Amino acid sequence: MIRSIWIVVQILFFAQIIFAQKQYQLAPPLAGFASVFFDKNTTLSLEFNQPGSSIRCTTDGSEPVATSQLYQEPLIISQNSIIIKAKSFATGFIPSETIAFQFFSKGKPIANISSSAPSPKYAGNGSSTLIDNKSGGTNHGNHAWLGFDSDSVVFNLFLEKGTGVSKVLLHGLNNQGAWIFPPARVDVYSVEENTTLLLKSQSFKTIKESTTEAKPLWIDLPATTVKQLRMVVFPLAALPDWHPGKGSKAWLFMDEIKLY
Amino acid sequence: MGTEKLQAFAPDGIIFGHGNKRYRLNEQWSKADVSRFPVNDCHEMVQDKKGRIILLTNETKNNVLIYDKSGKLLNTWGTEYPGAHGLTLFNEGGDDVLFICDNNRHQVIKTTIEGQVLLTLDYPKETGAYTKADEYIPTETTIAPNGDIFVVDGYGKDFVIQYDAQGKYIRHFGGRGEEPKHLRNAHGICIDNRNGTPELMVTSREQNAFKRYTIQGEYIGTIAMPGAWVCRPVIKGDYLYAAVLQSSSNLWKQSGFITILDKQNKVVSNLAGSEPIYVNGQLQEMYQTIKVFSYPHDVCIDDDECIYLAQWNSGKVYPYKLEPVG
Repeated sequence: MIRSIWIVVQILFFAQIIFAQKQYQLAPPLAGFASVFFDKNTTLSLEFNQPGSSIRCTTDGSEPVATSQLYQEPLIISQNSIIIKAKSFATGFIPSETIAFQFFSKGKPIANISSSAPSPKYAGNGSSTLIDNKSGGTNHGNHAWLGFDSDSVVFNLFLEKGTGVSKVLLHGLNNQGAWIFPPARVDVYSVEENTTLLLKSQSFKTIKESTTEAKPLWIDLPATTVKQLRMVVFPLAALPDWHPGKGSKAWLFMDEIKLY
Repeated sequence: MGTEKLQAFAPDGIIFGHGNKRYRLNEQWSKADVSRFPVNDCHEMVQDKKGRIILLTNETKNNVLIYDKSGKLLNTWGTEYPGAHGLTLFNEGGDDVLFICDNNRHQVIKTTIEGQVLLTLDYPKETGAYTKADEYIPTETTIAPNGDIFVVDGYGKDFVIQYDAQGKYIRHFGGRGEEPKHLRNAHGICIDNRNGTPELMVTSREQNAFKRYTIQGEYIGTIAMPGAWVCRPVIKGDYLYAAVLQSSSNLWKQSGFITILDKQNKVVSNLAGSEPIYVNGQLQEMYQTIKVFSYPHDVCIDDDECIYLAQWNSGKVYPYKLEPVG
């Protein structure tokens, strides 16, 4: 009995020595790519310039672990909506947080787009910002984003000719600390001459999230051939109760719209 | 799984930095009693002629904390600086004086080392660029050998405003715009004497750069600091040191580090940051590598070449000390 207590005491003693050492976490790797939107393919390079470290990555959406694929050379991306996740590892350190990037291929050609006026402070490069294949990252202050604080936002997408469309991608920002939320609802219409036909009205649930992230919003349409699509996007009208700005209108930020 | 567990513990005495600018970290430097002498954001630090380390915080219980180099708290003063941000020390005819930039008061206040107010500079109406005090949010000062005061309005309109020693407006320059001479988040300023002719070195933090000007305010050039939100430039000997608030690649996620440049303004070491790499003379993007600091805001280099690090929005931590490794 005394012997076993002594062993426990010893174990605790050594555990304390180990745990007393300061543990540091690695920062995530530096990612380099032109845009998350690509025509044929694009390249993702990663680096983490810290002696003894390695970068592990996955391409199937799973969390990278110490035995995941070792990053050795830039990844060529050609698959639509693929998610690449990466993480830094080194002996003696806590692995970094995971960084993730989702890439989107060229959709159906959109000849032109018009949009409700964004907030003058976040007017990007006009409505074409939404079809320029440039991604805005997570900094809503840059010119790749359009920011809206109105009750509803209308986008008109003009296709060169009648085109089959079955899916809409709205790529937007989620930065809840900065009052930027995904929309509450999107209505998609087909517009032809004098007729406007509602194809889909889709509502989105507001989920509390602490990370700032550019995210896709997918809307499946009944298979249809269109020359013009109209989207009416309703930003969240009232911030949820848990938010410091509860009851106030949320901001909507978009950097790209694609049709598939 | 077993190995992963073991890997979770960092080796003892981790060394930060590169080349001959490497340091050992002491997170327990401050011996201040947190219940009596709390800090909020630790914004800037200087060393006075007696060798004491002076910290400025926006905690109005004690805006100024005076330490010895071993971290023993010697004295505190100041309750009237809710927006205490910039702290500059100037030896004025043998006496140390301090210049405090207060973001909330929209003022620059000159005090004795014990906190007696000597001069207050209000918002610079004389420039014609301001209509009210709120537009002016000074972040930092530097004082020329002749006593001229240079203020950077780093959270306001990004002008550099020059006054004489009595506080009389002389000129202003910088400001916002698209030209190289313009500034965005002019967060810090110092006088750089390393190459014989005194120059002004001004931070353009959101542009990840330092910009050089003559003492008369003519733009000379830009030192690109890709990826690094550099705070105030601090010159000690042949080197320029700066706290890096965060990495551009990982914004608002405690991704700061410390950077050190040599006399040619080439980055030679990053503490808890990536090794500086130049390709065809171009510095490649820098970033945090080890999450040891949160939001570094200023460094002070003492007469033993030790670095003291003050941090913003980092859980009200006291400053850290880093000692050079031979």
